[in-house]
Amino acid sequence: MIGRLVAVALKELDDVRQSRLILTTLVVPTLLYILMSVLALWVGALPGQAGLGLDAIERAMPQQANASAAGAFQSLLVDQVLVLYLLAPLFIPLTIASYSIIGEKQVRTLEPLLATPIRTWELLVAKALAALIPGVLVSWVSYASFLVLALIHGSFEILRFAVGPVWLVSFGILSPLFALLAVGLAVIASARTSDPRAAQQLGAIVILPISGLLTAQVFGLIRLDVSHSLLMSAAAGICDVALLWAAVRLFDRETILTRWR
Amino acid sequence: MIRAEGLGKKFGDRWAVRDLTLNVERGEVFGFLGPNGAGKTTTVRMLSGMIAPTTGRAWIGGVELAGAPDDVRTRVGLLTEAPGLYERMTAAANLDFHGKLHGLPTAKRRERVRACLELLGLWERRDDAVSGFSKGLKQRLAIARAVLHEPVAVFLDEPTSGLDPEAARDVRAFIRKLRDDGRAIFLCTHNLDEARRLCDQVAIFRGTVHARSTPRELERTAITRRLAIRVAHDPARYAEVLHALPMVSSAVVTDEELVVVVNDVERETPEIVRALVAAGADIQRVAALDSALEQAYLGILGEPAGPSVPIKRGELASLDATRDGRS
Repeated sequence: MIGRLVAVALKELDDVRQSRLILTTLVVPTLLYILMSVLALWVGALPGQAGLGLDAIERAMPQQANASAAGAFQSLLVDQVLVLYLLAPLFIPLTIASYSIIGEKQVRTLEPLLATPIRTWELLVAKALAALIPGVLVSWVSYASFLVLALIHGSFEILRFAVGPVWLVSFGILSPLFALLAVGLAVIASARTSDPRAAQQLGAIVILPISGLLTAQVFGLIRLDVSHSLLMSAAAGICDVALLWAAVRLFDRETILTRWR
Repeated sequence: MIRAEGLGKKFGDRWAVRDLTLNVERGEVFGFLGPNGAGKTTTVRMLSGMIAPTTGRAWIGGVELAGAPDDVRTRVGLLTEAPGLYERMTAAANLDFHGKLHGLPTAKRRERVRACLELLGLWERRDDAVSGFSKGLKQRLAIARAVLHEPVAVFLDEPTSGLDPEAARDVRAFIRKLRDDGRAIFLCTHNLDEARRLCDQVAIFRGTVHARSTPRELERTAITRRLAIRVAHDPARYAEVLHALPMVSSAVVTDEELVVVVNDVERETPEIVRALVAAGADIQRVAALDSALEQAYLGILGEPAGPSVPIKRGELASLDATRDGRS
């Protein structure tokens, strides 16, 4: 059964690989993120910048209280930049996910696919994973690039800060699980409407509260720490499982085969 | 191998299929004949475990559909109306992907992909993307996909629709091979000539089965009305001879042939031939113009069973010997 799931997911990823348009939507954000990393490291190291509002930085980021003034300032910039990286897995997979079922129907490959013994949950999980992976990869590649750039730049304080447990949990667990929520919703929408635009819009609904949360972090209204990240990851994981269950229940083969044109 | 009892499907208030009972044995081609919208595709989807019936029961290879649709789908091969292939993938990759979905182990999958591609004459094109294939090649590949996992029952929905004669001939040859391999074949078509050539049993279907028999038996129930006769010289002269016969409604010359309309081709032909020979005609060919199965089909479904191609006065090469008061 895992074999079928993997087969569909790999086929979907191969589709992504062969689509120049989708590849562009993956490469461009990655390059922009890397550019932002360079800017953050460069601006943070400019003479005279470090002293600005150091008290405020210490209040916002107590873990950086012992860092040098330049290091603390760079950490603040990095804090904002890395949050943006976490958004990539939320919006990048939406196009892929919203087209996942509708696309198969439009090119008339869905019926032969549903004529195989594949189970609904296998199909939906495979589609969701295939949509999720490119966005998560953009996020991870951007994060890894940032770490490499920090190393090259010699910003060891930044490096220590960026590989701290908050960011590891956020990139490794929280962000993919959040992204799975958006993808799951888009896949459900893709299986319930015959219009990919509607599916994409529905999937985007889940992005709003999550991006609001991350924006609050950027503006210093809230601070992510490890326990918050783990708690939110657990909540997102439960929601993901519930969403998958709902997706399987809502996937109506009969309607898809007989009513969609 | 394929068995249904009282199978029915209702969409909203409308019955698409009602009270379908049938049995298709191993090594048998069952022709499911019906017009567009008759419910043929719905029937195939029910029997292949893709949609649930509203009423009745069905079995594929002894496994009951209700409660085990996934299991049924492992025993069924389906050729959908559109080939539904992944255009960016190669022919071999398309089959390999479906082999994985059917749970074939790697070695077996490779063997079956090769065997199917070779059988359908696609082995040389195995590494080509499907997007470059002709319609006929795509159809062959879709058939290969349907039989890749060696299903006991194969459902073919309009397998030769839109194909050129050569491709259609190849597909028909493959269907015969499947039958010889002992598979039960359920062939949906409105190509009556194809049904006559391929099927051991046919059912004429529109929402429900209106008639079921062998093609030969159904043809016997039909009365064909048009006869084409080719004579060596001067067909117009012999049209006048035919005009004098009481059983002839109309006799015209078109494309150097006499087209004769009678009440019953099978009954009247001997006398017509005798009359022409007596008049000195060198007869080269005599053939019924209308397919008997087509006449049976139209008659059973309540469609007008007259000449399918009206004879227009302007197209005549010679005289129209239509008699007054007779049609």
